[in-house]
Amino acid sequence: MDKFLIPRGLQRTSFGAFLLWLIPWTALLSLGLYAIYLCLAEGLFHTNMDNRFAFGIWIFLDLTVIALGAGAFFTGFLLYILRRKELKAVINSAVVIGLICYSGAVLVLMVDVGQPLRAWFTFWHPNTHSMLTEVTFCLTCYLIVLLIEYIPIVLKNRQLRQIPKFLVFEFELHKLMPVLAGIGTFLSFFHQGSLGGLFGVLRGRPFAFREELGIWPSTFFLFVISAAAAGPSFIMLTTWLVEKITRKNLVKPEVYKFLGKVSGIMLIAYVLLKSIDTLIWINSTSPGNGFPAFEFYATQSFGSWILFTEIVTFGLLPALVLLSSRLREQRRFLFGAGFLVCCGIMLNRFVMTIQTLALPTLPFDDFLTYSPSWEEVATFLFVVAYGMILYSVTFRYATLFPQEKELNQLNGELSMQEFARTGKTTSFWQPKFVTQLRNKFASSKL
Amino acid sequence: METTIEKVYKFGMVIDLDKCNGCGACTVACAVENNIPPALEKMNKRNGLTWLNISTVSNGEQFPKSESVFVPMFCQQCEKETPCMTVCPQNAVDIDPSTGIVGQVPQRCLGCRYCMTACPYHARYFNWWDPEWTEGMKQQLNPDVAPRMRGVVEKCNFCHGRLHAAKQKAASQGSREIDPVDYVPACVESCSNKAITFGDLNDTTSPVAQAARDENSFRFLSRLGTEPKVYYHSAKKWVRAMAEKSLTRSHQEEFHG
Amino acid sequence: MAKTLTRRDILKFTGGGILGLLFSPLPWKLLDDSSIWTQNWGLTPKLAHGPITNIFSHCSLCSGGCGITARCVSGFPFAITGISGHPVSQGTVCTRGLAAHHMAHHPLRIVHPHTFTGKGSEATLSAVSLQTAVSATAEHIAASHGSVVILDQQPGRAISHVYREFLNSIPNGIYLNSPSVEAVTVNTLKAMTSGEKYSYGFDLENADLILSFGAPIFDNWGTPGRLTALHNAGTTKVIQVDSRYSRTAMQSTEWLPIIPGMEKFLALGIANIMIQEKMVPAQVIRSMSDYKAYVAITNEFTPEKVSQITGIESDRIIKTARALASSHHPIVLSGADPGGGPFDSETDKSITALNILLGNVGKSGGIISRRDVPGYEINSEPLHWANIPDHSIEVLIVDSVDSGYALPWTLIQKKMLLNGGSILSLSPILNEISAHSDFLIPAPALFESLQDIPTPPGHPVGTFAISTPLLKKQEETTEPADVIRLLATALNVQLEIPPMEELIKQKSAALYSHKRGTLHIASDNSTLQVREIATADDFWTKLTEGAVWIDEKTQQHSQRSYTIGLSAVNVPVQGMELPMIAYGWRGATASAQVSPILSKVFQETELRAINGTVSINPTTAIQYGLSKDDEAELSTVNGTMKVHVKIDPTIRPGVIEASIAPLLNGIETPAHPAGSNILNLCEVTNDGTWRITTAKLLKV
Ligand SMILES: Nc1nc2c(c(=O)[nH]1)N[C@H]1C(S)=C(S)[C@@H](COP(=O)(O)OP(=O)(O)OC[C@H]3O[C@@H](n4cnc5c(=O)[nH]c(N)nc54)[C@H](O)[C@@H]3O)O[C@H]1N2
Ligand SMILES: Nc1nc2c(c(=O)[nH]1)N[C@H]1C(S)=C(S)[C@H](COP(=O)(O)OP(=O)(O)OC[C@H]3O[C@@H](n4cnc5c(=O)[nH]c(N)nc54)[C@H](O)[C@@H]3O)O[C@H]1N2
Ligand code: SF4
Ligand code: SF4
Ligand code: SF4
Ligand code: SF4
Ligand code: SF4
Ligand SMILES: [Mo]
Repeated sequence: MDKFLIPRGLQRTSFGAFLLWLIPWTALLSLGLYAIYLCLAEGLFHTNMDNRFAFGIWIFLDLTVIALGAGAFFTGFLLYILRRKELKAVINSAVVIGLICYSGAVLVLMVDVGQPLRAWFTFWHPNTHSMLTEVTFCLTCYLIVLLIEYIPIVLKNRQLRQIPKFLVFEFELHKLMPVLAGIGTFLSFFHQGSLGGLFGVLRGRPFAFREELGIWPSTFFLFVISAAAAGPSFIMLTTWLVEKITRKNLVKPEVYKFLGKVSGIMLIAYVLLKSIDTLIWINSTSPGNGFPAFEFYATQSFGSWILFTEIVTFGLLPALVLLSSRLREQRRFLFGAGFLVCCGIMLNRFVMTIQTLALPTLPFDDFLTYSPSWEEVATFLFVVAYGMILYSVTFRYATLFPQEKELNQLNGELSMQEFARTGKTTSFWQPKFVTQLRNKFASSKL
Repeated sequence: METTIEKVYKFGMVIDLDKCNGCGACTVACAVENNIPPALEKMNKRNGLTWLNISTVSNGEQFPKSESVFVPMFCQQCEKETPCMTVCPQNAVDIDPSTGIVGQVPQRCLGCRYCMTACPYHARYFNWWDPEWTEGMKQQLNPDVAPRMRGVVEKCNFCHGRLHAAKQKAASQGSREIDPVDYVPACVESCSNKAITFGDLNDTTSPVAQAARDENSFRFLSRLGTEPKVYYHSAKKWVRAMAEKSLTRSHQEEFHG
Repeated sequence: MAKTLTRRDILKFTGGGILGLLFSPLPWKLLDDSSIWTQNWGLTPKLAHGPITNIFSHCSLCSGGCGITARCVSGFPFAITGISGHPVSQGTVCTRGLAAHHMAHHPLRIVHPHTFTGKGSEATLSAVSLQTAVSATAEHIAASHGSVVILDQQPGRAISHVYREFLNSIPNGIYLNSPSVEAVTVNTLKAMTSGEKYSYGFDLENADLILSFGAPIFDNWGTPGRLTALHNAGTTKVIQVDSRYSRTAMQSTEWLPIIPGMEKFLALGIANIMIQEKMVPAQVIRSMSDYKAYVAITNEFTPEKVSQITGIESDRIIKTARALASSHHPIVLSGADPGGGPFDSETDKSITALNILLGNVGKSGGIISRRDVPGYEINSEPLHWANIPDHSIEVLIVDSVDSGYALPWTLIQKKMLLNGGSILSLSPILNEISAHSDFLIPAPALFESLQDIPTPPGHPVGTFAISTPLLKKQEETTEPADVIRLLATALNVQLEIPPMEELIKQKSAALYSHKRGTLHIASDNSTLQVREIATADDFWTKLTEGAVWIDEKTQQHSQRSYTIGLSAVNVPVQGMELPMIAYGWRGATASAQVSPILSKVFQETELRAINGTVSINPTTAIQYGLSKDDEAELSTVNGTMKVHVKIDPTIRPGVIEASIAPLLNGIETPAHPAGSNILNLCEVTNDGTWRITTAKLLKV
């Protein structure tokens, strides 16, 4: 019934199947909405945060999500500035994912702060010394950039194109893209960095505190580079995921390999710098502040294994894989490594936020533990659900993957074999009943 | 009015841990003075509102050798690189150059709690709940101190209400200095064990400055270099050893370098 | 000429309009308002405005008798501090006194007469008229066969005399106190003495050594300010005999960690050493009528034996005995922890007797005789719980100063008639005992009416002061004196009971007529001879303005003789399975409830364990498979309670410390006090004490 909206030449499941797919996400969305209501209307005592654990999973996941969303700016940077044309294949998808990650993060932040209605004070009387000010400014600006970048994707829709004015507008915007990409890159560089700075400047938290290079602590640069490493891997994984769910080929293998390679290059650089940074911290920064670094790892659950996992398992290992063109050939390794990279970024953001707060500072402090309340979890699931829905809708009615059309005409066959081969994994990504319904509706497919 | 006070102060405290018997008078006096609401059912040491909290620290020995001290902990009024102030995105924390007191402006605070993660002394408190008093108690709030609303951070400000009153009194008498007897924080006043000495650290002859220089005086986390203005004192070796578990600066470093 | 309005024009107009609006102050104003709004939401209360004044008065929350300065705004007290130079409280108030002005607004405050339907924690309040409550009680008194008892929680006040007169004028009336941790030594000594017409007091300021058997002297004992001053001066050596590392043990010169319940034997052991080593002055021996009997009892307690009973090394015991004997002004205090309740009388006697052996009675720096305050003389000693036969009380009237949580409800049950007994509570606030009563005629709350402040128990000289009202009296509250008058009328007993304020004014006049002693004036910290004061009215006015009257030191004499009256003591069977001791915070959680702001101390800091917490040593914890913050079941002969486990290395292994503390009256939902008190698990012995109870502790 919504065929008139679906881009020409693209195959989409029936409207019914699509709605069915949306139901669970909508449910999640409403649960999250309720949790958000509780926190805003009644107060943050609905969370399990406290005066000692003043940041919880919200900040942790915000940082993670923003790092993963970095794919948007980095792809944009490679495509428009460094003119890596092959990335045209994923740029739209990257932009949508970026938009979702950033808008989601900002939304959660607005629930996280105690007086969201005053958030604008930061623009009114900003403290220019505060990393959080930098973050706030860049985040808001970049969110606007992403919105502008999102518009042409929407305008490409077959019906909207009927309207000449829009067509012109979209065309104009396209000429703007390189500029926007430039601004985006610039902004992202700063807020990704400031997010790292957020913790690096915490003189009062010797576990997180780092020496300054110029005006920024080393974590500033580590965050930028790690984000640039994770972004492409995440684009890679998400695209692959969409292929699995929709059982279509969406981009050419080279694109994957290229993304993997970029990720690998950034990652190896990161691993190197991170190691140097850690050594300096262990041998001078931390003891200088009165805290022998090994003490941090003497505490319960957070042993030195964390450090190892972060740098080797989730760092060096995937980097080497991604850098070897032979291994990149095999999807198992390519995506496996990509997955490890994303785990790595997640672990790093976890260490910076949660572990930092769990560790004692005063000599008579205890090691603290914290587990999120259902409201905190639900609030974050809201973002996941919202992302899923926004992405699904955009995927259905706009052209996220320019190569989709050609790929699925040339080797529609292939894609069917693909299905046969990957049917199992498919059902892993979606509830069985959806798969069954798909087959049921398969007949109605044109 | 306040402009007529010309002297530059550096207010600080020395807390004698050997004198403190954990009676809690200071905590209660602080709450009464600063309109801190009583605990609601679910409040505890981690999510409550006590600008002045007190921890019990044990010497780790076996009974009957086991001893403990009480450590009153509140904003240490960090002088350098004031951690909470530098991180606040919207200048809701300020340090008054004429008193050295680190102030908190709840009306500007958006409750991001970044300052709380920044404070090494856990001296900042977030209003997780709306404040609640019984109807009668509402009429008994200190008229000099604005109550805070849910969602903002608050902390010890060396009883700003009392400082303000003392300044006004001095100004009204045309004096350019605050009379020390006019400015005594509630916790200091309430401590019948005289465990807290308060005053101007700039005035080397003041009791507080002298007590701070005592060789048994120390500051927690002194190596962080935030130059807190609250000192602690104990003649007990094990207490000072406890304080040095995170390496502190030697007495020499503290005062001559 | 007419120009048609085109679509373009409209667009232009709106476009321009919007642009203009953006540059107008309007949007910024709106933003500002939004933030201003966020600052007043959450219903943050409006602050009172008006001139700030100081009113001097006295706190009557307990018998400490502290002078207070109330900072008031337009008449409302908003903060309380001491009165500098106050000769009794030395310028300080205790932790509870700092928030005493909240008491009238306590969430469990009762403002008009009530009756209870149902019993205990199920009991629900329903309002009744004063008339109904009074006549019901009067009828019950008239028809009673059992005794009619008034529990006076703060003896020595003017109202105490009203109670006594009333009870004397009815056939079966009994005036009852329960022993005060402060007064127990002086009361016991008084009972041993003949030839002493006055009360006794402690001349602590002139003592050079205090041996305290568990008396929490640095933890809100007596008048806290007096003892902190003593401690700050640091000239008096204090040896604290305590079963735990208490606040006082922490602050004393030396701590003797004793096995709980064995205090008596340490006292006898010390006596024995003093006697064996000929440290007892001859005239002391002469003054003791039953010296031989006493020696016969003590001499079996050799240092070795005592060491074995008490768990204190024998050489420390000997050292202590010698230190006592060799010091010039020693004082030995009996008096245990408030939560644990008083020692049994044998223990009190054994400990108190040491003062006699040391010959410090009637000497400066010892226990001195204290002339009673004119108008406040005692004609007869009050009865204590020990004197009350079980199940003998038919009508119990509990004074407005309700012991709240210090007295186990089980003790009162033990003394009440098995059936048909009734309780009338005069407490202004709901608490363990008043929540168990049949009728409740609330008295005005603290600072709502004028009260007299008698001499604190154990004070060395007589004192008298007034608690000047700071708050408006609640319409339907009734002064206990008026309740007694109504009862008297209903029973047509002929009694002249003037209104409370009138009565106290009379006493003040009587006191003035002696032209004795001095007045300390709060406003300027000066001292006036009573002689210099023109009229009784001036005297009264000064008292109502926060002055306190101090008697001259009493002429000491030595024509006393003593009878210790110890009966042979048998050594207890050691090692009861798990001794439980109730432990609490003297005074500061005393009469009835405390200000909700005390939740800072009980709930938001580690300072005091909340009600229903048991503290045990780590080794005990391992032994019983318990760990920090476990929920456990504590059971004794009296029943079982869910408790919260706290690990504390300063507690003796193998001992449970059950903390008695206020209910956490989360002001949003005040808890029902009845049956909440861990003290009710304590086994009350026949002498009306409840120090140690065998308990079981099981993890749930
Ligand atoms: N360890 C421990 N201490 C406690 C308690 C406890 O449970 N355990 N309970 C508390 C309770 S419930 C109470 S009621 C208090 C009571 O404590 P207190 O108020 O000290 O009562 P008493 O010690 O009985 O009396 C104090 C003195 O006043 C004298 N006196 C009595 N009546 C009069 C009078 O009419 N005029 C004059 N001039 N003097 C008089 C008595 O003879 C005695 O010398 O103790 C409290 N202290
Ligand atoms: N400093 C001082 N204090 C006194 C007296 C004194 O002379 N000097 N006199 C006594 C007299 S005369 C009176 S009438 C009063 C009453 O006397 P009490 O009520 O006996 O006061 P305390 O003896 O201090 O406290 C008794 C015990 O009850 C516990 N307790 C107090 N409040 C609560 C509560 O709300 N819940 C529970 N579960 N336990 C609680 C305390 O922790 C303490 O262990 O004050 C007594 N307290
Ligand atoms: S008032 Fe004094 S003694 Fe009491 S807890 Fe505070 S600092 Fe310690
Ligand atoms: S102690 Fe904490 S709150 Fe106080 S100044 Fe230092 S960092 Fe800020
Ligand atoms: S919570 Fe308030 S004071 Fe603290 S950093 Fe955020 S805005 Fe500033
Ligand atoms: S100085 Fe004032 S605000 Fe600070 S802790 Fe003491 S009483 Fe509270
Ligand atoms: S000791 Fe008693 S009288 Fe004194 S302030 Fe405390 S409660 Fe009031
Ligand atoms: Mo009492």
